[in-house]
Amino acid sequence: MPPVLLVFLGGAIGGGVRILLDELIPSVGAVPWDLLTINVVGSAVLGAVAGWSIIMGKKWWQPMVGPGMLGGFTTFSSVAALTWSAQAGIAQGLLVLAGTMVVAVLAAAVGWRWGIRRADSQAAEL
Amino acid sequence: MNAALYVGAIIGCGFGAVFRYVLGRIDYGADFPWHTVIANAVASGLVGVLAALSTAHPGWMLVLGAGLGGGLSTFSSLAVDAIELWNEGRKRATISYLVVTCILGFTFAAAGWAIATTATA
Repeated sequence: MPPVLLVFLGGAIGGGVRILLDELIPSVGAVPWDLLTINVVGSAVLGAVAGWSIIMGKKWWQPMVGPGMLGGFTTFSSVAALTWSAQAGIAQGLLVLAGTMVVAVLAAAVGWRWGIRRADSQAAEL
Repeated sequence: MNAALYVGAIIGCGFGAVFRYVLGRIDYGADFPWHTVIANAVASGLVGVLAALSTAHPGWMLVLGAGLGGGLSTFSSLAVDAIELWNEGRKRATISYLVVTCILGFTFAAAGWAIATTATA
């Protein structure tokens, strides 16, 4: 399957799961806890995939899982636009955006280390 | 909200992800992940526009905002781009990347909202 089609399928699946969770988890106040959780979990998983790939190399399914599923699952735009879409103040909107960024990057770092360790132990078994 | 809107949103996510992927291929091998910055800024502008139109067109935010914009923008690539820059020892580039993404995303959302509000006033 061409990579662009894999990205399309992955994006539709990841985005569909995000939209479903968004409907199921009610927002409390102006902080979108659902989106925050989605972005942190998605960043940790992509970090793990990226770290794992350093050892194991690129695989055919990566366009589907990386830019597709995890890229579609996580979202930046809805968080960046909170001030206007959820009537959060400017300070609160910026704080949620910057805060999500810090936690997501830390989560990706933890995922990355885990991915490398996992790939190392897999490579040792082979 | 009817089922067709959700189907539209899911298809929108697929197209958004493809646009982001193609943008990354055009910029392949660049030493600064501008493609992710651009995808996130453009998607934020789109959601800003839709926020201004949400009363008149409630379905648009789902299909074009959560769908197309949500698929085009990404938090996971943003986080992993930052880790990769950091691992290359480019600490200042890492900080610049996060700050530029934050400022451009916020500014584009504000601009999108302002333009759509003015245009429909």
